Amino acid sequence: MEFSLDFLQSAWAQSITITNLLLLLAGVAIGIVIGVLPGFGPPLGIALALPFTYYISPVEAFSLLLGIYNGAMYGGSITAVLIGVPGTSPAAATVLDGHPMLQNGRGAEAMNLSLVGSACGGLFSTIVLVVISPLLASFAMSFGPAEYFALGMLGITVVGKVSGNNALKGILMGALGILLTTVGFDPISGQARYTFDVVSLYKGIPFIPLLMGLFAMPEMLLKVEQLGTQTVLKEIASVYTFPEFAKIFKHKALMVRSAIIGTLIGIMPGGGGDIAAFLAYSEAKRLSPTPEQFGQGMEEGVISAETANNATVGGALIPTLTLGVPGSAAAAVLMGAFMVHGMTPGPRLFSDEPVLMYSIFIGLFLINFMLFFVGCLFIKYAVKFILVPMQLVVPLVFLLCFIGSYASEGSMYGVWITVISGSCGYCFVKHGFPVIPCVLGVVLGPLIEGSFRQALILNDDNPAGLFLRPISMGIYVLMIFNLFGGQIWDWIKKHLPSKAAK
Amino acid sequence: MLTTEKKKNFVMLGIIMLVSVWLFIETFYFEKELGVATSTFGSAFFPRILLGIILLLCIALAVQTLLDKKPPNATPSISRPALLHVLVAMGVCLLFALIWDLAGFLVGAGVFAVLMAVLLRPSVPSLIAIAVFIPTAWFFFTRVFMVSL
Repeated sequence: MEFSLDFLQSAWAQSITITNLLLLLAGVAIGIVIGVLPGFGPPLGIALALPFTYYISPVEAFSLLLGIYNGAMYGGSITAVLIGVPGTSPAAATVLDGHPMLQNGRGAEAMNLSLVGSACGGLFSTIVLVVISPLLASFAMSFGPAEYFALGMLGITVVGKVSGNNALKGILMGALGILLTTVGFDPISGQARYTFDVVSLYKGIPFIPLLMGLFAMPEMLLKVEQLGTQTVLKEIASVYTFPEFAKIFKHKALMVRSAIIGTLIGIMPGGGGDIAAFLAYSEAKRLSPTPEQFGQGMEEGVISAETANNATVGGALIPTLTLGVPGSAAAAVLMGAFMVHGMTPGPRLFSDEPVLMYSIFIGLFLINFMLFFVGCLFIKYAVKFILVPMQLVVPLVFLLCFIGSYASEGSMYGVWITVISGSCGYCFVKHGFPVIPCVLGVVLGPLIEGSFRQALILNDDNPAGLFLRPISMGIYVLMIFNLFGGQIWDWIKKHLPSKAAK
Repeated sequence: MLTTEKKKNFVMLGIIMLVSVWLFIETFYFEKELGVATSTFGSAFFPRILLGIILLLCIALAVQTLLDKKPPNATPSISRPALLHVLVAMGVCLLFALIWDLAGFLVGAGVFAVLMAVLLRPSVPSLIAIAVFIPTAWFFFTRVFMVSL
């Protein structure tokens, strides 16, 4: 995508409308609340809001969804500091020093460090996104079906490997997700597959109801299961005061370092905010003159973790927007928003929808500024949401899921898909099978099958054509390293020194 | 002697394998029904490869589970009352969908709210909030989004 002032002006005009600004604001505020609610993360927040974006323009839809994504990434840190329980998994590293800071009577400072760190991390990764993604998209324009097939496979294997405790289970779930996309009309021959004479199945398994079923329903059923053991928080101290910037920005070098770590981890498919936060935290500890004080309420611990986890947002959007391979679970759900609005994420998005791309960039900058201001004003009230009983949240989320599924399909077909996939999703989760690779499989399934068959057609039905192109070979090498890197490294460590000794 | 967690894993893998075999057999039917000539790379080719991979992964997982000396990394097992709670909640969701299909959203959501209240025992303010949410959502979707629930 070459820079064009016309597109930028058009995107600016669409982004700076009252409706869009209100949606950005609402997105950030809803995101913070989602982050505060235990067990609710950015993917679930985006999934719940997705059906509502049917009725607004794509620019407005992405403003709302990206606001939720950023807000939820930050929101998890509020509970991490105040009660020592991370609202979201990326905030787990924040607990280590954030909560001890509160116990030392420095709760307000910890909250401010996490807020400013989150906003700065988000801004940094947005700048990287704006600079890198058009270049990467131009490069990816030279990709053919073989490269896209390889990229799709890389996405499934990487996410499959990191999203659970067992790589085989993750990859199996990814394959099951791809299998779900084979229901309905075959994209090349138009032949019906797995329809069993059910008319609704001819259009395939709809994405939003499936998403609601796989993400929201198992989470709510787990809450139902845990309700007996839930501890109710009676009182939360109001600890908030306005940030002192001079004090916070003395850590600017640490913030830049953590933002770089977060952005790089975010770019890698499957590299989540939690990995980035822990990596930045351990790096901050390693370079600190007083590493022994980490875990007892160090400012550096809070700021490194929070800057890194919010920096993953922009990083995760780089492969999502340029290659169509999501960098995180939330980005995979976000890809569904493109599908809802009739667009396919990937390099063509930059040439086909340049105004939307510029609007997303502008939106991300605005979101990170808003995150700071909304955070300052809203922390006191957001904290109260921890007190909302799950007995109220669970039925409301169930109802939202079903309404969203119905609205997305305009029929009961969506609701049935949610009920069935939700029940299956719960069984999978309870048996240690992660659902995130399955969602990714559903997102990437059409790309994988389409490019697989196109590559075969282009190579006269010779499967070697899928593997022998230089870029696809490089991607397969990456895939093998991702899957067996640990074993290869162990083998090298075991065998090389003994050979050298001989 | 197999642990409970290992047994559960085998049951799960067994179900996936059975469904995969059934879906694999189905691929031969959707070709025949439409009278499309069997082609190596026809519409059934990709699902067959995929199902083959799924079956191989299931076998690999079964072998891994069998050989694994540590208990598998599953989420903690569920107590009987908690399981009953979850099954009832699933049943309530199913019933909600059925009633919604037959009698409309407001009736279905009303029944859902009552049954959920019995199951989860929310406080009175929570009950009021749910009672307010249902007609509000209905009004919002039917009047603003023009989606008749």
